[in-house]
Amino acid sequence: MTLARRDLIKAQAAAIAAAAAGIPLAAEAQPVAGGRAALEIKWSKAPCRFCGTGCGVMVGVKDDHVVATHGDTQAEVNRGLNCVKGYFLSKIMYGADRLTTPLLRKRNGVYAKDGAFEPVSWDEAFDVMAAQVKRILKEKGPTGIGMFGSGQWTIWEGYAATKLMRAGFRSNNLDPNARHCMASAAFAFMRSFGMDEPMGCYDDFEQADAFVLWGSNMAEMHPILWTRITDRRLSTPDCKVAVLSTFTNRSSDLADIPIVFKPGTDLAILNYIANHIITTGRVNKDFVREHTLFLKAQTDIGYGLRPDDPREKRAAGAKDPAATTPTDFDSYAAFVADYTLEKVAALSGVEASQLHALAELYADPKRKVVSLWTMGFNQHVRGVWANQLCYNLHLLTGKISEPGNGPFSLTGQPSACGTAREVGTFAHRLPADMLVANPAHRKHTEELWGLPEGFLNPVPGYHAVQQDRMLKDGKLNFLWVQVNNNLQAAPNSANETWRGYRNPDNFIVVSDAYPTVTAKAADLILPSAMWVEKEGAYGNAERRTAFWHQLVTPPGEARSDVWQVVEFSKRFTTDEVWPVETLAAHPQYRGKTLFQVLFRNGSVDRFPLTDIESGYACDDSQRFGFYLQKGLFEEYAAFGRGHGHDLAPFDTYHQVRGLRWPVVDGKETRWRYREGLDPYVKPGQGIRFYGRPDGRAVILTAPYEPPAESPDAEYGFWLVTGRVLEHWHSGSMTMRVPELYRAFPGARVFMNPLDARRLGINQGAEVEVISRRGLIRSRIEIRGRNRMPPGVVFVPWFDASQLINQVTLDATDPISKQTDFKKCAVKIVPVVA
Amino acid sequence: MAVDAGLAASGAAEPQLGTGHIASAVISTHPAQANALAARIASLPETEVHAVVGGRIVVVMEGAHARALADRLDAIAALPETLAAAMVFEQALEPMDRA
Repeated sequence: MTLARRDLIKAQAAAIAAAAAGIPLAAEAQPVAGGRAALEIKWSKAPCRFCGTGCGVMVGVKDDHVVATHGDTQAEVNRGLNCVKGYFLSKIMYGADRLTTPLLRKRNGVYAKDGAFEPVSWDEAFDVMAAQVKRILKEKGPTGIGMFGSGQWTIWEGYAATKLMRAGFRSNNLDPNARHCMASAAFAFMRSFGMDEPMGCYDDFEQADAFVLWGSNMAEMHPILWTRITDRRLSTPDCKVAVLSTFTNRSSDLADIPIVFKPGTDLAILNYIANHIITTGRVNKDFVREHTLFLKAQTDIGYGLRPDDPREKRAAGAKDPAATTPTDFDSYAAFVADYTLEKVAALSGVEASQLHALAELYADPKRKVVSLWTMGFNQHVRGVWANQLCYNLHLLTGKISEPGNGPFSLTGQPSACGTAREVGTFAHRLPADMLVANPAHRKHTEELWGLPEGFLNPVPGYHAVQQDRMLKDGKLNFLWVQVNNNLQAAPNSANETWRGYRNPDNFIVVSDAYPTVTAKAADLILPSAMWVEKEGAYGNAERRTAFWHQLVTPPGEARSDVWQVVEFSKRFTTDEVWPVETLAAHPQYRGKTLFQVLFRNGSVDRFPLTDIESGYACDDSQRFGFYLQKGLFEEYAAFGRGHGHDLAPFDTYHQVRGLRWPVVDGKETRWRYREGLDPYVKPGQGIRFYGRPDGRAVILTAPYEPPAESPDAEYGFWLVTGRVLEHWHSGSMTMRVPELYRAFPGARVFMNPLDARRLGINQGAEVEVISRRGLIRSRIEIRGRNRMPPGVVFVPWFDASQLINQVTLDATDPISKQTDFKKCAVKIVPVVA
Repeated sequence: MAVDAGLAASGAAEPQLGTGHIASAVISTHPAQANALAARIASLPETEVHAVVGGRIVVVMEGAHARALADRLDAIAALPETLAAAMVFEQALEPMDRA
């Protein structure tokens, strides 16, 4: 029987969905004529490029175009399912306004800051760009130039960038937009465990008896993982879900314990739970005695604002916010004893019975608990503390590093872990959790990179918010932005970021696939290849490294970011940019290009083109004449092998659906720090938090401290910002998919109906959202799926026509330097027609 | 915030997305409500229910444009019995072109 092509595709669609749902389907028993080959589509695997979940998708290509996608049934993460963003993956590449050629601001045929964009060749673009870098290096030295990258960089893009900046230009002014996303989680893991990233993995979702979401709306932001939690909740008697948020959202629908708390009071709730565990005698004393130590945090640490802000001048502990002092269990217990149920209920606005029920989830020794969070904890002026206070609960009870028990920080970007954190593209980091300020770490890096001893710059560079401030102040004069939309994403953008970009002394380069607001504010725009237009690798939130091949050709002159970085390095010689003393002491480096020193170095260039898997293109490697991605990956992997970050051989990742590091003897590691589950824990050790020399994890003493800005008589509302399901991050990709655009066309101000009535406005009314820093116009939403408590408004930030970050405050966690986008004060003023 | 006028206006550009789309989805619900929900889904235009097992429903949708399918998935997600709605497969019958 020959099925019509349409029926054949429908049968295939049903069969794949049934397989994803674990349902045997009769249609599967009817093989379609000619099988999938009859559809003339070549299918290849790739990780989704949207969020940090790391779902696997199958990508169907015909005539150099992506024509179909489906969830990868072999991918453990999503088992064939896809969220609505993943459904539109193929279309993000085909927006009508894709950038296809470099664009330079020009007047009378030459570069001019106030000129208009004109198409130029890559040669001209790099000539102008290199001249600017050389001028600024001569005038200001390495601190005058910087780069702002992304958790959407592939692993080798981030690695090539960190190498060019630190080893080429001796500048640590490299930071990723992941700074805005999960720097607090990264710092907290380092402070508590001495190693970054979660000890557990998504397999915990089928093992836990309770899930606690701390300010994470997983139903909308991580829908595939939410499906797994939903399945567990519905299939397991007595499984409980607690959802904590500053407003009611879609995740609350499944919650047994839905909690809406006043912004910032999560710190007090965490200390109350610790107090409850202690006072009810449920501390796992053996675990605490053998595997933990107690430290007390520096307090009154300020808000990461500019130093002349009165709030910084007042903060006694702002000079050394990360400082800690030793303490002990008894002192800690006495400290949290102050966080009584009554007191915390009053402070947080949460009913005492709900807080008690929440605390029991952690305290009950028979219940396995997974704590989950994203921006609620991380975008928080005390984000590092919030993360660590949550670890406290798992450490006090020993509910950690085993199936079904553990704290798990979710991530927002597809390679926030794999690239930003593991490669170390933060201003203070080197690969594999090493630090630029640590002499031994620099020495090890210099050896692996073939650099003269003592060459690397020991001073951490400007973090994200500081980059924007230094651009505005004229201390940072060159910034290369790749794969992110910082002008839309950065806080207080009208007063800081925008002015920095348009400062006449500065030269701003933006590499992107689309003309975002950031690209339009640049002086030079470089067209980037995206997703399967290049070979790539991402690392997801559960330490899983996943690869994909180049599957289609990028449009026009668009090139991958790794090509851009490596090609640009050819424009510089060591004589131009390295210190005279270094070259005098090490004459063998004289007269070489940075390309020769960094990439034609006998390591990155050691794999031939014949190593590229047959049947796949790799344009980047063809242009350089060696397998660039493999060389970069293998050189990078040398940092982590044998040090707890072991990655598998390059070729393995093209065959498997990702592996969770450390990968030792070909086996991935699902739970770290426990004997029998983690190869780094030796027989007889039981548990060892080997990231720290003493093998112990830190239980931190830290108080509730109020946010940087709270509502008052004039600015009476809390403003919380965030995302909605249909759009991701700044919307620069998803806003170009018409279906997603129509589903949620413009940002709205979500508000409580009683507040709206008090202001005399109705659903859809036009309002101004005004803070001390700026304003936007928007419309009121009182019926939407986000249901606000009185006094709190929520505005999504994806809409480039309503830049809510002109309103937000550039307060950061003083330790992680991550911005708090969740708490500032605004007033809502109806627009009179 | 002023932006440069040298670039064409961006925003929601309208690429050509082909002339016919087919997609499949898996819907999660409480098992007791699965049959009622499946019946409601099956009553939507160009929407077929291929299986109902436990709390899971396999749905195949057709539409002239991908937008119609996204709107339909949104409509299914908004039904009160729906706990989660996930896309699985999608294919454009004609190739998507760069506009």
